[in-house]
This record gives sequence, structure tokens and C-alpha cells, in this order.
Amino acid sequence: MSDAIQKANEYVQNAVLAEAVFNEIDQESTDRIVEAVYRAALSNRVRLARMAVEETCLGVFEDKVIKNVVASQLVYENIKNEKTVGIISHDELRGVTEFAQPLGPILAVVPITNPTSTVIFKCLIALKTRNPIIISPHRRAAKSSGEAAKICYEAALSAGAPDDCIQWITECSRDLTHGLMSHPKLGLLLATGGPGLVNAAYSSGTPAIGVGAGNVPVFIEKSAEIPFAVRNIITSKSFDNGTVCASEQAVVVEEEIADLAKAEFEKQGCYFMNSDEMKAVEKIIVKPDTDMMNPDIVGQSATFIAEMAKIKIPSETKILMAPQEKVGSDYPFSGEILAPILAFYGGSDFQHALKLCIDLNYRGGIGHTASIYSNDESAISHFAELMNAGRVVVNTPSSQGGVGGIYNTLNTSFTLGCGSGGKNITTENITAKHLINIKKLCRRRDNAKMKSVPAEIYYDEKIDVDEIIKAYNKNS
Amino acid sequence: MLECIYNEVSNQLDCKFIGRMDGPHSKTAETELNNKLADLLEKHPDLNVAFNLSEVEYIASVFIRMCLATAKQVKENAFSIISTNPLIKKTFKIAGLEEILNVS
Repeated sequence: MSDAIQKANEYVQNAVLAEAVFNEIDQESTDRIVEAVYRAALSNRVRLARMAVEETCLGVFEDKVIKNVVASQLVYENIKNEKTVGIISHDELRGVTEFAQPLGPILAVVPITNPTSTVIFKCLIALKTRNPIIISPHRRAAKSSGEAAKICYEAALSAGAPDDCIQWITECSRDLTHGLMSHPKLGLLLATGGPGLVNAAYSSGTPAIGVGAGNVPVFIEKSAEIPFAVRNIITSKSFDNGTVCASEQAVVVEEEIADLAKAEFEKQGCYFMNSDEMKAVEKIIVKPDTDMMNPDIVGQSATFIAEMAKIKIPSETKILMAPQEKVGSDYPFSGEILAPILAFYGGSDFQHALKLCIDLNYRGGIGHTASIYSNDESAISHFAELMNAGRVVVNTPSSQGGVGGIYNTLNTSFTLGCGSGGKNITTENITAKHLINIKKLCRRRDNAKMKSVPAEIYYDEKIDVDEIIKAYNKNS
Repeated sequence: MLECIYNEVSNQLDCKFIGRMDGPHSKTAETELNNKLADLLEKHPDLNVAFNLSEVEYIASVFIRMCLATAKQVKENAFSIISTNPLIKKTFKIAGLEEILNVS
């Protein structure tokens, strides 16, 4: 047995013992544990944010603090009243009582972009459902993710949680991750990361909740209030230097408001690149050998990226704007870039703008998030109908809107389901309710309609289907 | 409040635990038990040990580890856990230790 497999066994065996002990813990004790973890995480929001930025060298310190607040306070407020132990619902009429059962040990893969907030979020939803959790951090964020996990673990223990209810991997290796992912005693993989990781999770044979890539189009429809829309888009796209997968990737406007929108973006601190500048930036946003987003620009500021590309921009630039006409793999600005860079498209009219949004949505972002600014309900509905997305946010910064809890009532989550488009099982924002098996206690409730049908008519081939349907629905 | 009642008859040691076997209580019990076991195993290398959990309402993982460690000190099949309540039986079942520890 290799060292990695032996280590994987140790992690899972510890988690299985924790799972066993969790079995004895009731709702009240569970809630006490979750509250203790939330309070500890919230207390350490600033220190953890500082560690995350220092270790990963990406993102914005103040925004990392807010991410930690969202992951602790808003997630807690979102789940605190959920029933997750024992009986969770009862329907006397249907005779069905539902019981929550834990899934078993969860392996939680944590991305470099949210190394502390995702840990806090996943620990809270795992503990709320009495599932032990093993945190697998990104190798470039192991220290800060480990510290976040340690803070959560110590708080959980102090509130009576089982030993090893939270574990974290300190020696990241591909073999260990694969050994854990395919371990027969693992209950679930909670995989937040890139497509390679999510595919590996799905191929492991363990049930997995993954995420899909985003490529969020934001449509500023002509009825929108342009300064408001631009201000919100900048707030969203510049948040943590664009590391949120639900952040806007391309702005689409109708031609009649294109100049106004462009002027407003410039007024509010965005820089429109010319074609030479775009060529220079294009070279650094995609890795030519993999055709994937260049990790070196992820979470970096607009000025840092401009410096990398050797172009000159005003020092206060918030977002680099790339005017584009076409969408596709030959046009890197039309794909997902987790940095403060936005493609900018002008559609000749409403229909053309919608078609551009569809192209962008289907350029690697199906199932994720789409965004519209509009005061025309029929335009909003039309847009929502056409987008293949788990979330369509309206007049809302999509980074914060997609995560939920700040600008809308979506479940607050750092794992956004993308449905079949993103090869996921759900389009929902993942939360505690996704981490339980629901057992149904079914009391006898006879189907009176079926009982009233003489069984013989089902056996007789000569009896017409309409006659059977009529007999089934007969009122007597 | 934890109580451990030991009853030794020849090569049989019955240990009856009463209360919540949480981490601190389990550690206290383990120290006491290990001292007793060291003496008894010298006298009776074929010692049988039974943990009676009829009055135990909660066990922590430290207690489960103590069960495993005790089972390792005696000969094969000489360790058992008896009179568990259904919840605690399920705990051993989830841990995958019901058979190894002869839980009933």
C-alpha cells in the first residue's frame, strides 16, 4: 500500500468514527456546534482574510474579509433554523414523515480563489447535517485553508462535536486526493474548482456535487438606468479582483445606448482598450499550451494585468474593457476570465443583443449565471427564458447576487450548482439540505381511485385504454 | 457523572460503565482500566473482557478507540461489548466495528 493510500485510509477511518459518534447527537447539540463554529469564524474574519491574500497573492484583502463574513454570518443565518436531525417534516394527509440522515464523510475540495471562506461555508453546512468533513485545500493556499479549518474544528470540539469531525490535509498530493476521492467509505465529494477537478470528482465513483464554469453575460437593456447598472457591474466585477465565478464576463448593450454606457463606464473608472492594447492583453489571459485561463492573472488588479501586458493605463483603473464583436474560442475576451476584465458588445437591437447573450452563455457558461439590468418586465422574462442558467439576477451585481443572501433570497452558498449544462445534478445554490439523505416513513394511505377499478379490466387486452382511464377517474 | 464498576471472576473481567462516555470520562476510564488490565493479564493471559453499556447513553470516539485498544490487549474473541442500547449499537455499526468488537 502506498503512503498516499495509507494516509487516505487514516483520514477516512477517523472521519468514519466521527460519523458514528455524530449519530448520537441531537438537533439542539448540532445547532450549538454550528453556532460555535460560526462565531469563531466570524471572529477570525480579518486574520483569515489577511492570511489568504498573503499566501495566495490574489484578490483584495477587504473583499476577502467580506467573503468570510458572508461564509460565516450569512450562511449561518440562512441555515440556523433548518431541521437537519431526526424528523424534518410530517404530512398527516399524505401519511409521510421525513427523517434526515447524514451522508457520511465528505471530502471538500477548496479553490485557491476562496481559500478561507469556502472552508467556513463547507464546515458549517457539513456540521449542520452531522457529516464529518475532510478539507482538501489548493496547494497554494494550504496554510490559510488549514488555519480556517483549525479554527472551525476547535470551536466545534469546544461545543461537543466528535473528534475528527473536521480534518484538513496538510500534505497536498495528487495521489492522496485521488485516494480520498475514490475511498469506498466516503459519502460525498463537494468539489468546488476547475473543470479538471470536477471531472476527476465525477469519475471517482463517489457521489459528487460539483460546480460548472461560468461565463456570465450581463445585458444592459435600454430601459435600464445606465449609471446604476454600470456602478453595480463595477462593484461586482472588481470585487476580490473578479475571482467570483458568478461575476460578469461580458457586457452586452443595445446600440442606441452603447455610447452612453461606454461613457458611463469610463466616467466610473473603467478603461476601454484599443485594438493594439487588446492584442497585448489577449496574449496573457490564455495559456497557449493549454488554451485555458492563465492562472497568473486570476485575482490580479487591472493595473497589474496592464503591467504584465506592457500597456499603459490610468493608475486608478478599476476594470479593463475590451470592445468585441464576435464570440468564440478565437476570441479570448468572450470566455471566462477571473480578473477585472470585461468584454463589451453592442447589439444592433434588442434581438441581436439577446443573441449575443445566448452565444456568450453557451461559450462555456451554461447552467451558471446570467444577469440583466432592465425596468421592462417583458424584456426581463424574455431574457430569463432564453438563458441556460441556474440563476438569472436582475438589477443586481451578479457576484454577490449569485452567492445569495445579500441582494436576494437565494441560499447563501460558495458552491453554485450549474445543472446538466455544467454537468451537475442541480442548479441550486448548494446548502445544508443537499447534504442529507431523506428517509420517508410512509403510513398506509390506500389509493381509493385504483381500488375502485375492477382488477379484471387491467388483465383484459380487449379493453380500450379510454375505458380504463374512465373507470379510474369515475366519481363514485 | 461517570461510574465504572469492575467485577473480576477468575479469568473474566466485567466492566460496567454508567453515564456519558465522552472524551474526558473515557480518558479517565481508560487509565483506570489499563492499570487493572496490566495486573490481570499477568495472572490470566487468557483473560476475557466484557464492557457492559446498558447504562451508557453516549460514547465518544475516544471510548471507541479505548474499546479497540482493549480488544487488542486480549486474545482473539476474548473481548465483547454487551447490552448496548440501539443508538449505541448503530454507532458501532456505522464505525464498521460491530463484528470486530463483538457488539450485542
